[in-house]
Amino acid sequence: MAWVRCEKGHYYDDERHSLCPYCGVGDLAGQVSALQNEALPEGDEEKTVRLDDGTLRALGGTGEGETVAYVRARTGMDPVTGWLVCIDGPDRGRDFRLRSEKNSIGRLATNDVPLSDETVSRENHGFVVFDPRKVTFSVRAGEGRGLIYKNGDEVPFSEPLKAYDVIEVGQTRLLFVPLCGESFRWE
Amino acid sequence: MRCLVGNGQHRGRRKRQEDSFASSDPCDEAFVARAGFISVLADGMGGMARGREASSLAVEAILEAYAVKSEAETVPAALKRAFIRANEVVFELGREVGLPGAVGTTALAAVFFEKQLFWAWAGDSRLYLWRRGSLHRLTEDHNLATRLEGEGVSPEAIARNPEREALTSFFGFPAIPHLGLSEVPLPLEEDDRILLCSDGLYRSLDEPEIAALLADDPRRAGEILVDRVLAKKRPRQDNVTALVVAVEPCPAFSAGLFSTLAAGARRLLTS
Repeated sequence: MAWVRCEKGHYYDDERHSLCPYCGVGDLAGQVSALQNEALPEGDEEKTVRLDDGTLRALGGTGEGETVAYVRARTGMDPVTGWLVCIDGPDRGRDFRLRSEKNSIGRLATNDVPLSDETVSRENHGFVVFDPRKVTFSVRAGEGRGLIYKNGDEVPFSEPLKAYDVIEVGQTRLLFVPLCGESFRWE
Repeated sequence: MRCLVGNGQHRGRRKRQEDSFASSDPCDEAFVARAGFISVLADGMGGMARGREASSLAVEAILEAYAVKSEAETVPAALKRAFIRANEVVFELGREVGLPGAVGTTALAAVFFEKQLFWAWAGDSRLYLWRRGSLHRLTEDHNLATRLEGEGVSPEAIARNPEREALTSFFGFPAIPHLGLSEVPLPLEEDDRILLCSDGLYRSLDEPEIAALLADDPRRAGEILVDRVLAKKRPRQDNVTALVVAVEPCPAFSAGLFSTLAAGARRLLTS
Protein backbone atom coordinates (compact mmCIF):
# COMPACT_ATOMS: atom_id res chain seq x y z
CA MET A 1 0.00 0.00 0.00
CA ALA A 2 1.43 3.36 -1.02
CA TRP A 3 -0.51 6.04 0.76
CA VAL A 4 -0.37 9.44 -0.88
CA ARG A 5 -1.92 12.85 -0.33
CA CYS A 6 -3.23 14.66 -3.42
CA GLU A 7 -2.75 18.40 -3.78
CA LYS A 8 -6.32 19.01 -2.61
CA GLY A 9 -5.70 17.23 0.69
CA HIS A 10 -7.36 13.84 0.09
CA TYR A 11 -5.64 10.57 0.90
CA TYR A 12 -5.63 7.51 -1.34
CA ASP A 13 -3.71 4.35 -2.18
CA ASP A 14 -1.80 5.00 -5.39
CA GLU A 15 -1.46 1.30 -6.08
CA ARG A 16 -5.23 1.18 -6.58
CA HIS A 17 -5.83 4.58 -8.19
CA SER A 18 -3.65 6.46 -10.66
CA LEU A 19 -5.39 9.75 -9.80
CA CYS A 20 -7.09 10.89 -6.62
CA PRO A 21 -10.54 9.22 -6.70
CA TYR A 22 -12.09 11.93 -4.51
CA CYS A 23 -11.02 14.81 -6.76
CA GLY A 24 -12.59 12.99 -9.70
CA VAL A 25 -15.90 12.79 -7.88
CA GLY A 26 -15.71 16.47 -7.03
CA ASP A 27 -15.02 17.65 -10.56
CA LEU A 28 -17.83 15.60 -12.00
CA ALA A 29 -20.24 16.84 -9.35
CA GLY A 30 -19.08 20.41 -9.97
CA GLN A 31 -19.74 20.17 -13.67
CA VAL A 32 -23.11 18.61 -13.09
CA SER A 33 -24.19 21.20 -10.54
CA ALA A 34 -23.21 23.99 -12.91
CA LEU A 35 -26.10 22.97 -15.15
CA GLN A 36 -29.61 23.81 -14.13
CA ASN A 37 -32.20 21.04 -14.18
CA GLU A 38 -29.64 18.63 -15.54
CA ALA A 39 -30.55 15.06 -16.39
CA LEU A 40 -28.71 12.16 -14.82
CA PRO A 41 -25.82 10.96 -16.96
CA GLU A 42 -26.56 7.63 -18.66
CA GLY A 43 -24.13 5.60 -16.60
CA ASP A 44 -25.45 7.04 -13.37
CA GLU A 45 -28.98 6.06 -14.16
CA GLU A 46 -28.04 2.44 -14.69
CA LYS A 47 -26.15 2.43 -11.45
CA THR A 48 -29.12 3.77 -9.54
CA VAL A 49 -31.34 1.09 -10.96
CA ARG A 50 -28.88 -1.64 -10.19
CA LEU A 51 -28.31 -0.41 -6.66
CA ASP A 52 -32.01 -0.25 -5.97
CA ASP A 53 -32.50 -3.81 -7.12
CA GLY A 54 -31.23 -5.47 -3.96
CA THR A 55 -33.43 -3.43 -1.67
CA LEU A 56 -36.43 -3.94 -3.83
CA ARG A 57 -36.32 -7.67 -3.63
CA ALA A 58 -35.98 -7.36 0.11
CA LEU A 59 -39.16 -5.29 0.19
CA GLY A 60 -40.94 -8.14 -1.56
CA GLY A 61 -42.02 -7.97 -5.17
CA THR A 62 -39.84 -7.17 -8.16
CA GLY A 63 -42.69 -5.17 -9.64
CA GLU A 64 -42.49 -2.67 -6.84
CA GLY A 65 -38.75 -2.69 -7.09
CA GLU A 66 -38.80 -1.63 -10.67
CA THR A 67 -41.12 1.18 -9.80
CA VAL A 68 -38.76 2.60 -7.22
CA ALA A 69 -35.88 2.40 -9.61
CA TYR A 70 -38.05 4.00 -12.25
CA VAL A 71 -39.04 6.94 -10.09
CA ARG A 72 -35.60 7.56 -8.66
CA ALA A 73 -33.81 7.05 -11.94
CA ARG A 74 -36.09 9.58 -13.60
CA THR A 75 -36.22 12.29 -10.99
CA GLY A 76 -33.08 11.51 -8.97
CA MET A 77 -34.95 12.30 -5.76
CA ASP A 78 -37.73 10.98 -3.61
CA PRO A 79 -40.25 13.79 -3.70
CA VAL A 80 -43.38 14.34 -1.66
CA THR A 81 -46.50 13.01 -3.40
CA GLY A 82 -49.21 14.03 -0.92
CA TRP A 83 -50.04 14.38 2.76
CA LEU A 84 -52.06 12.86 5.55
CA VAL A 85 -53.41 15.42 7.99
CA CYS A 86 -54.53 14.30 11.42
CA ILE A 87 -58.01 15.69 12.13
CA ASP A 88 -58.79 13.60 15.22
CA GLY A 89 -56.62 11.88 17.80
CA PRO A 90 -53.46 12.75 19.77
CA ASP A 91 -51.73 14.17 16.68
CA ARG A 92 -54.64 16.43 15.68
CA GLY A 93 -53.32 19.34 13.57
CA ARG A 94 -50.16 17.57 12.37
CA ASP A 95 -49.39 16.69 8.77
CA PHE A 96 -47.37 13.73 7.48
CA ARG A 97 -45.60 13.65 4.14
CA LEU A 98 -46.28 10.82 1.71
CA ARG A 99 -43.72 9.68 -0.84
CA SER A 100 -43.64 7.14 -3.66
CA GLU A 101 -44.64 3.50 -3.12
CA LYS A 102 -45.56 2.18 0.33
CA ASN A 103 -45.90 4.66 3.20
CA SER A 104 -46.27 2.79 6.48
CA ILE A 105 -48.53 3.98 9.30
CA GLY A 106 -47.55 3.00 12.85
CA ARG A 107 -46.50 4.19 16.28
CA LEU A 108 -42.71 3.94 15.96
CA ALA A 109 -40.67 6.79 14.54
CA THR A 110 -39.39 4.46 11.81
CA ASN A 111 -42.80 4.49 10.10
CA ASP A 112 -43.38 7.00 7.31
CA VAL A 113 -46.47 8.18 9.16
CA PRO A 114 -45.48 7.98 12.86
CA LEU A 115 -48.53 8.49 15.12
CA SER A 116 -48.61 9.00 18.90
CA ASP A 117 -51.88 7.06 19.20
CA GLU A 118 -51.34 4.20 21.70
CA THR A 119 -54.09 2.14 20.04
CA VAL A 120 -52.16 1.99 16.74
CA SER A 121 -49.76 -0.92 16.03
CA ARG A 122 -46.08 -0.24 16.50
CA GLU A 123 -45.28 -0.96 12.88
CA ASN A 124 -47.17 -1.25 9.61
CA HIS A 125 -50.69 -0.83 10.97
CA GLY A 126 -51.55 0.04 7.37
CA PHE A 127 -50.11 1.63 4.27
CA VAL A 128 -50.85 4.46 1.91
CA VAL A 129 -49.46 3.45 -1.47
CA PHE A 130 -48.59 5.83 -4.28
CA ASP A 131 -48.16 4.16 -7.67
CA PRO A 132 -45.93 6.48 -9.70
CA ARG A 133 -46.74 4.82 -13.02
CA LYS A 134 -50.48 5.16 -12.74
CA VAL A 135 -50.21 8.27 -10.53
CA THR A 136 -52.83 6.86 -8.16
CA PHE A 137 -53.11 6.41 -4.41
CA SER A 138 -54.56 3.54 -2.43
CA VAL A 139 -54.90 2.55 1.21
CA ARG A 140 -53.86 -0.95 2.19
CA ALA A 141 -54.45 -3.06 5.31
CA GLY A 142 -51.41 -3.86 7.47
CA GLU A 143 -50.04 -7.08 8.83
CA GLY A 144 -51.21 -6.79 12.43
CA ARG A 145 -54.52 -7.25 14.25
CA GLY A 146 -55.58 -3.61 14.01
CA LEU A 147 -58.04 -2.71 11.27
CA ILE A 148 -57.88 0.27 8.96
CA TYR A 149 -60.98 2.11 7.70
CA LYS A 150 -61.69 4.33 4.72
CA ASN A 151 -64.65 6.72 5.14
CA GLY A 152 -66.03 4.45 7.87
CA ASP A 153 -65.69 1.13 5.98
CA GLU A 154 -63.10 -1.49 6.82
CA VAL A 155 -60.35 -1.92 4.21
CA PRO A 156 -59.94 -5.73 3.90
CA PHE A 157 -57.09 -5.57 1.43
CA SER A 158 -56.66 -2.43 -0.66
CA GLU A 159 -58.95 0.45 -1.68
CA PRO A 160 -58.33 3.38 -4.03
CA LEU A 161 -58.01 6.82 -2.41
CA LYS A 162 -59.30 10.16 -3.63
CA ALA A 163 -58.79 13.66 -2.25
CA TYR A 164 -60.26 14.26 1.21
CA ASP A 165 -60.98 10.61 1.93
CA VAL A 166 -60.70 9.92 5.67
CA ILE A 167 -58.50 7.06 6.89
CA GLU A 168 -59.10 5.75 10.40
CA VAL A 169 -56.60 3.79 12.50
CA GLY A 170 -57.06 3.25 16.24
CA GLN A 171 -58.44 6.51 17.63
CA THR A 172 -56.86 8.58 14.87
CA ARG A 173 -58.56 10.04 11.81
CA LEU A 174 -56.36 11.13 8.92
CA LEU A 175 -57.46 13.29 6.01
CA PHE A 176 -55.83 12.42 2.68
CA VAL A 177 -54.60 15.38 0.59
CA PRO A 178 -52.88 14.41 -2.70
CA LEU A 179 -50.24 16.46 -4.48
CA CYS A 180 -49.71 14.15 -7.46
CA GLY A 181 -52.65 13.35 -9.70
CA GLU A 182 -54.24 14.65 -12.88
CA SER A 183 -53.09 18.24 -12.29
CA PHE A 184 -49.53 17.54 -11.24
CA ARG A 185 -46.88 14.86 -11.40
CA TRP A 186 -43.11 14.84 -10.85
CA GLU A 187 -41.26 14.58 -14.14
CA MET B 1 3.83 13.70 17.04
CA ARG B 2 3.08 11.81 13.86
CA CYS B 3 -0.32 10.96 12.55
CA LEU B 4 -1.92 8.61 10.05
CA VAL B 5 -4.73 9.85 7.85
CA GLY B 6 -7.41 8.06 5.86
CA ASN B 7 -10.67 9.01 4.25
CA GLY B 8 -13.65 7.55 2.43
CA GLN B 9 -16.53 9.08 0.55
CA HIS B 10 -19.59 8.00 -1.44
CA ARG B 11 -22.53 9.76 -3.04
CA GLY B 12 -25.05 7.33 -1.54
CA ARG B 13 -28.37 7.41 -3.42
CA ARG B 14 -28.17 11.11 -4.08
CA LYS B 15 -27.69 12.62 -7.49
CA ARG B 16 -24.68 14.66 -6.45
CA GLN B 17 -21.82 14.48 -4.02
CA GLU B 18 -22.19 17.59 -1.90
CA ASP B 19 -19.73 16.69 0.87
CA SER B 20 -16.17 18.01 0.68
CA PHE B 21 -13.12 17.37 2.82
CA ALA B 22 -9.36 17.90 2.99
CA SER B 23 -6.41 17.54 5.33
CA SER B 24 -3.20 19.54 5.57
CA ASP B 25 0.13 17.91 4.83
CA PRO B 26 1.58 16.29 7.97
CA CYS B 27 4.99 16.12 6.28
CA ASP B 28 5.18 19.90 5.86
CA GLU B 29 7.40 20.51 8.88
CA ALA B 30 7.20 24.30 8.83
CA PHE B 31 3.39 24.13 8.79
CA VAL B 32 3.30 21.47 11.52
CA ALA B 33 5.57 23.53 13.77
CA ARG B 34 3.43 26.65 13.39
CA ALA B 35 -0.08 25.28 13.02
CA GLY B 36 -0.06 21.51 13.58
CA PHE B 37 -2.26 19.31 11.42
CA ILE B 38 -5.81 20.19 10.32
CA SER B 39 -8.63 18.14 8.80
CA VAL B 40 -11.78 19.79 7.49
CA LEU B 41 -15.15 18.42 6.38
CA ALA B 42 -18.19 20.24 4.99
CA ASP B 43 -21.62 18.93 4.00
CA GLY B 44 -23.31 21.13 1.39
CA MET B 45 -27.02 21.44 1.89
CA GLY B 46 -28.96 19.47 -0.67
CA GLY B 47 -32.17 21.39 -0.24
CA MET B 48 -30.33 24.45 -1.39
CA ALA B 49 -28.75 25.57 -4.64
CA ARG B 50 -25.08 24.79 -5.25
CA GLY B 51 -24.46 22.55 -2.26
CA ARG B 52 -21.27 21.09 -3.67
CA GLU B 53 -19.74 24.44 -4.48
CA ALA B 54 -20.60 25.75 -1.03
CA SER B 55 -18.96 22.81 0.75
CA SER B 56 -15.83 22.78 -1.37
CA LEU B 57 -15.41 26.56 -1.04
CA ALA B 58 -15.85 26.27 2.73
CA VAL B 59 -13.17 23.56 3.00
CA GLU B 60 -10.70 25.50 0.86
CA ALA B 61 -11.35 28.78 2.68
CA ILE B 62 -10.91 27.22 6.13
CA LEU B 63 -7.62 25.58 5.11
CA GLU B 64 -6.32 28.76 3.48
CA ALA B 65 -7.27 31.03 6.35
CA TYR B 66 -5.96 28.59 8.97
CA ALA B 67 -2.68 28.14 7.08
CA VAL B 68 -1.63 31.76 7.66
CA LYS B 69 -1.72 31.19 11.43
CA SER B 70 1.32 32.78 13.03
CA GLU B 71 3.17 31.30 15.98
CA ALA B 72 1.71 34.00 18.22
CA GLU B 73 -1.91 33.25 17.33
CA THR B 74 -3.58 30.52 19.38
CA VAL B 75 -5.25 27.57 17.63
CA PRO B 76 -8.80 28.51 18.79
CA ALA B 77 -8.29 32.08 17.58
CA ALA B 78 -7.04 30.83 14.21
CA LEU B 79 -9.95 28.40 13.88
CA LYS B 80 -12.45 31.10 14.71
CA ARG B 81 -10.86 33.47 12.19
CA ALA B 82 -10.89 30.72 9.53
CA PHE B 83 -14.56 29.91 10.15
CA ILE B 84 -15.63 33.55 10.00
CA ARG B 85 -13.69 34.00 6.75
CA ALA B 86 -15.08 30.81 5.18
CA ASN B 87 -18.63 31.79 6.09
CA GLU B 88 -18.11 35.10 4.29
CA VAL B 89 -16.96 33.21 1.19
CA VAL B 90 -20.05 30.98 1.23
CA PHE B 91 -22.36 33.96 1.84
CA GLU B 92 -20.67 35.71 -1.09
CA LEU B 93 -21.33 32.67 -3.34
CA GLY B 94 -25.01 32.98 -2.44
CA ARG B 95 -24.99 36.62 -3.50
CA GLU B 96 -23.15 35.82 -6.74
CA VAL B 97 -25.73 33.29 -7.82
CA GLY B 98 -28.45 35.73 -6.83
CA LEU B 99 -29.64 33.60 -3.96
CA PRO B 100 -28.35 35.25 -0.78
CA GLY B 101 -29.02 33.00 2.17
CA ALA B 102 -30.04 30.13 -0.12
CA VAL B 103 -26.60 28.52 -0.41
CA GLY B 104 -25.47 26.62 2.63
CA THR B 105 -23.02 24.13 4.09
CA THR B 106 -22.02 22.70 7.43
CA ALA B 107 -18.36 22.88 8.46
CA LEU B 108 -16.19 20.95 10.88
CA ALA B 109 -12.46 21.28 11.52
CA ALA B 110 -10.14 19.38 13.88
CA VAL B 111 -6.57 20.38 14.67
CA PHE B 112 -3.77 18.30 16.19
CA PHE B 113 -1.28 20.73 17.71
CA GLU B 114 1.40 19.97 20.27
CA LYS B 115 -0.29 16.73 21.39
CA GLN B 116 -3.62 18.45 21.88
CA LEU B 117 -6.86 18.32 19.92
CA PHE B 118 -8.83 21.49 19.08
CA TRP B 119 -12.01 21.68 17.02
CA ALA B 120 -14.68 24.00 15.65
CA TRP B 121 -17.96 23.40 13.85
CA ALA B 122 -21.28 24.75 12.59
CA GLY B 123 -24.09 22.34 11.69
CA ASP B 124 -24.59 18.61 12.16
CA SER B 125 -21.31 17.11 10.94
CA ARG B 126 -19.74 15.29 13.86
CA LEU B 127 -16.37 14.80 15.49
CA TYR B 128 -15.74 11.62 17.47
CA LEU B 129 -12.77 10.63 19.59
CA TRP B 130 -11.90 6.93 19.64
CA ARG B 131 -9.77 6.03 22.65
CA ARG B 132 -8.90 2.45 23.62
CA GLY B 133 -11.87 1.08 21.72
CA SER B 134 -14.59 3.40 22.98
CA LEU B 135 -16.18 6.26 21.14
CA HIS B 136 -16.79 9.77 22.52
CA ARG B 137 -18.71 12.43 20.65
CA LEU B 138 -17.08 15.84 20.85
CA THR B 139 -19.62 17.94 18.97
CA GLU B 140 -23.27 18.69 19.50
CA ASP B 141 -25.48 18.79 16.38
CA HIS B 142 -26.70 22.26 15.59
CA ASN B 143 -30.20 21.19 14.66
CA LEU B 144 -33.78 21.45 15.84
CA ALA B 145 -33.58 18.11 17.68
CA THR B 146 -30.77 19.44 19.92
CA ARG B 147 -32.65 22.67 20.53
CA LEU B 148 -35.85 20.80 21.48
CA GLU B 149 -33.84 18.47 23.72
CA GLY B 150 -32.48 21.53 25.51
CA GLU B 151 -36.04 22.76 25.99
CA GLY B 152 -36.93 19.48 27.72
CA VAL B 153 -39.07 18.01 24.91
CA SER B 154 -39.33 14.21 25.19
CA PRO B 155 -37.25 12.04 22.81
CA GLU B 156 -40.48 10.47 21.47
CA ALA B 157 -41.93 13.85 20.56
CA ILE B 158 -38.63 14.87 18.92
CA ALA B 159 -38.54 11.65 16.89
CA ARG B 160 -42.00 12.51 15.55
CA ASN B 161 -41.08 16.05 14.55
CA PRO B 162 -40.58 16.05 10.77
CA GLU B 163 -38.29 19.09 11.05
CA ARG B 164 -36.02 17.52 13.68
CA GLU B 165 -33.01 17.38 11.36
CA ALA B 166 -33.34 21.01 10.22
CA LEU B 167 -30.08 22.86 10.93
CA THR B 168 -29.97 25.77 13.34
CA SER B 169 -26.44 26.81 12.35
CA PHE B 170 -24.42 26.59 9.13
CA PHE B 171 -22.43 28.74 6.69
CA GLY B 172 -24.39 30.95 4.32
CA PHE B 173 -25.84 33.73 6.47
CA PRO B 174 -24.10 37.11 6.90
CA ALA B 175 -22.83 35.74 10.26
CA ILE B 176 -22.60 32.17 11.60
CA PRO B 177 -25.67 31.69 13.83
CA HIS B 178 -23.78 29.48 16.28
CA LEU B 179 -20.07 28.68 16.10
CA GLY B 180 -19.06 25.64 18.16
CA LEU B 181 -15.53 25.76 19.56
CA SER B 182 -13.68 23.31 21.82
CA GLU B 183 -13.70 25.11 25.15
CA VAL B 184 -10.56 23.42 26.37
CA PRO B 185 -8.15 21.48 24.17
CA LEU B 186 -8.15 17.74 24.66
CA PRO B 187 -4.77 16.19 25.50
CA LEU B 188 -4.09 13.41 22.99
CA GLU B 189 -2.86 9.98 23.94
CA GLU B 190 -0.96 7.44 21.94
CA ASP B 191 -3.17 5.55 19.45
CA ASP B 192 -6.08 8.00 19.86
CA ARG B 193 -8.14 8.28 16.69
CA ILE B 194 -10.57 10.92 15.59
CA LEU B 195 -13.39 10.63 13.08
CA LEU B 196 -14.89 13.55 11.20
CA CYS B 197 -18.10 12.51 9.46
CA SER B 198 -21.15 13.85 7.67
CA ASP B 199 -24.63 12.90 8.85
CA GLY B 200 -24.89 10.30 6.07
CA LEU B 201 -22.52 8.20 8.17
CA TYR B 202 -23.91 8.43 11.69
CA ARG B 203 -27.53 8.14 10.57
CA SER B 204 -26.69 4.74 9.05
CA LEU B 205 -24.24 3.29 11.60
CA ASP B 206 -24.68 3.24 15.35
CA GLU B 207 -21.87 4.17 17.70
CA PRO B 208 -20.77 0.63 18.68
CA GLU B 209 -20.48 -0.21 14.96
CA ILE B 210 -18.41 2.91 14.32
CA ALA B 211 -16.20 2.15 17.32
CA ALA B 212 -15.54 -1.41 16.13
CA LEU B 213 -14.62 -0.31 12.60
CA LEU B 214 -12.31 2.44 13.85
CA ALA B 215 -10.07 -0.21 15.40
CA ASP B 216 -8.86 -1.07 11.89
CA ASP B 217 -5.82 0.45 10.16
CA PRO B 218 -6.64 4.19 10.38
CA ARG B 219 -5.61 4.75 6.78
CA ARG B 220 -8.25 2.22 5.68
CA ALA B 221 -10.88 2.95 8.34
CA GLY B 222 -12.51 5.80 6.39
CA GLU B 223 -13.14 3.56 3.39
CA ILE B 224 -14.24 0.68 5.59
CA LEU B 225 -16.81 2.88 7.39
CA VAL B 226 -18.21 4.10 4.08
CA ASP B 227 -18.37 0.54 2.70
CA ARG B 228 -20.31 -0.57 5.77
CA VAL B 229 -22.79 2.27 5.27
CA LEU B 230 -23.32 1.23 1.64
CA ALA B 231 -23.76 -2.41 2.64
CA LYS B 232 -26.90 -1.36 4.54
CA LYS B 233 -28.50 -0.44 1.20
CA ARG B 234 -30.67 2.23 2.73
CA PRO B 235 -33.08 3.45 0.07
CA ARG B 236 -32.56 7.14 0.82
CA GLN B 237 -28.85 7.01 1.69
CA ASP B 238 -27.37 10.51 1.89
CA ASN B 239 -23.85 11.49 0.80
CA VAL B 240 -21.40 9.96 3.22
CA THR B 241 -17.89 11.07 4.13
CA ALA B 242 -15.54 9.75 6.81
CA LEU B 243 -12.14 11.21 7.64
CA VAL B 244 -9.99 9.37 10.16
CA VAL B 245 -6.83 10.67 11.80
CA ALA B 246 -4.81 8.60 14.27
CA VAL B 247 -1.99 9.52 16.57
CA GLU B 248 0.61 7.03 15.50
CA PRO B 249 1.04 4.36 18.17
CA CYS B 250 4.17 4.17 20.21
CA PRO B 251 6.12 1.36 18.51
CA ALA B 252 6.08 3.12 15.15
CA PHE B 253 6.61 6.44 16.83
CA SER B 254 9.65 5.27 18.74
CA ALA B 255 10.89 3.47 15.64
CA GLY B 256 10.64 6.80 13.81
CA LEU B 257 12.38 8.52 16.66
CA PHE B 258 15.02 5.85 16.71
CA SER B 259 15.75 6.20 13.00
CA THR B 260 15.98 9.98 13.41
CA LEU B 261 18.42 9.54 16.26
CA ALA B 262 20.36 6.95 14.29
CA ALA B 263 20.54 9.27 11.28
CA GLY B 264 21.74 12.07 13.57
CA ALA B 265 24.35 9.77 15.07
CA ARG B 266 25.51 8.73 11.61
CA ARG B 267 25.80 12.36 10.57
CA LEU B 268 27.89 13.05 13.67
CA LEU B 269 30.10 10.07 12.98
CA THR B 270 30.68 10.90 9.32
CA SER B 271 31.36 14.60 9.93
